[in-house]
Amino acid sequence: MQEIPKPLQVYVVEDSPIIRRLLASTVEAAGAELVGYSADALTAIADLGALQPDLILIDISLDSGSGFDVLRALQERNLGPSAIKVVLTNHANPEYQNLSLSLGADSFFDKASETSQVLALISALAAEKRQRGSRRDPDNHEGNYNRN
Amino acid sequence: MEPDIGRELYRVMDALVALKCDLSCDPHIPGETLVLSAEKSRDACDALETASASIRHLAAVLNGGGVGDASKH
Repeated sequence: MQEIPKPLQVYVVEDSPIIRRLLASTVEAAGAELVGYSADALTAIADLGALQPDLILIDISLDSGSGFDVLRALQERNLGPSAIKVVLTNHANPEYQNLSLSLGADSFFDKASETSQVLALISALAAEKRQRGSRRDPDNHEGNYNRN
Repeated sequence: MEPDIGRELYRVMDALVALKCDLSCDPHIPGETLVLSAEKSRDACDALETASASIRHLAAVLNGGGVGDASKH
């Protein structure tokens, strides 16, 4: 019997219900799985230790704590080392970008002007994971995204 | 209570971003949603409502009135 490939698993750290809903609908439409979400850093850190998603979408400004706290905890505790970490924020300035990347983020996007790129990235990663699953190519681990 | 003006403004920005994505028929959104579904329409309305409420809140405070005091305008 053929094994069904596991969909891309996504976790969202975002305090805005409207943006969460937008991301969730894109995740669903892409055939990926939203494994959880959080509006604050502590809950996110606890969840991420247990869930080990493939993709983590992180806002900087949260209900309590910040996206930096989440990135720092992931880095210090080596949680989800293979997860792709994408920051999507209204605070898109070089200082925040550099700090995010130094804390292990793979990409950094401006929420005001680059959200559609994040939606595209979710779709691309979900498709890539599906293809990888159906090809069953154990050597093909690498994501197809660019580190900003 | 005075709102955190920065936070309110970011709330408006988030709502507008979501609205833009919902209405833009982005090529990465699958074809069956190119005609806005009822759900997407409701999401867009919610985004507008959130943005409007935040702007109204800010405008009232910045004009020295109470929340929702739009009678002067």
